[in-house]
Amino acid sequence: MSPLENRLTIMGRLDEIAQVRDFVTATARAIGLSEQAIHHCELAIDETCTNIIEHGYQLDGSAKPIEIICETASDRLVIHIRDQGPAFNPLVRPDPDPTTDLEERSDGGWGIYFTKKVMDDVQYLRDGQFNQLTLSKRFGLQ
Amino acid sequence: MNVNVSKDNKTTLIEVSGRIDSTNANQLGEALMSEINQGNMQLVVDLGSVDYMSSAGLREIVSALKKVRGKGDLRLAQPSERVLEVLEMAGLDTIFQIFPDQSLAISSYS
Repeated sequence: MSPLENRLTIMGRLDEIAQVRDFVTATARAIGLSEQAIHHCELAIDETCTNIIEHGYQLDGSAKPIEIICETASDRLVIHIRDQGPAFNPLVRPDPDPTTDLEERSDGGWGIYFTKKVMDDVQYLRDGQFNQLTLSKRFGLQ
Repeated sequence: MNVNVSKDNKTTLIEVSGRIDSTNANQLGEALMSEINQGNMQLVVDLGSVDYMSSAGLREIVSALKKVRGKGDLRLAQPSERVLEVLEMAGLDTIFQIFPDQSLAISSYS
């Protein structure tokens, strides 16, 4: 497969996320990921962009971009998500515990938890004024 | 996403279709809270026509379940494989009673 690089930039509003989901699922489908792996990429990108818009941009991101770059490496689809919110590494937050009883259950943190569960690798980088989260999904795995 | 609410004796049936995500999960939450605030505590949420649900949707059904527990229940019917996977990742498949079809979920209250 020849290397691929697709880019999309949206504004930081919840109603723009559908575009990102369509963009990522079309890319994942074009390179032959399984339907379950495509759903995993869709969930991860949705949760990541929702967190950026709700927390990083505080629901005031109409003029603040989120850039999505999909590229293929030899054995994986790699998705970079770049935003201009305050520096924040979501990976250092403790995971919510899925075995917790209903009453003690945490309301937050599930989005990044799901992202880590469904993707094969998730990395955070602060790059100048950008937060960059890099998600990887390997070919041939669920 | 569409939310349709109907009554079956003492049970309130909430049929949801489409995608549940951060753009619309609050509509589901509002529909659930409206029923709970009217004293309807035996709820069935039918997810049979939901093809996608993110953590935003889970937050709404968990919040509603917390409100009704002890007075009634919120039971789920026919989640798709995709939706069930999300419920399982969050450990909610052991917290919610989940039924393979709508009629079993409704009759479970009798």
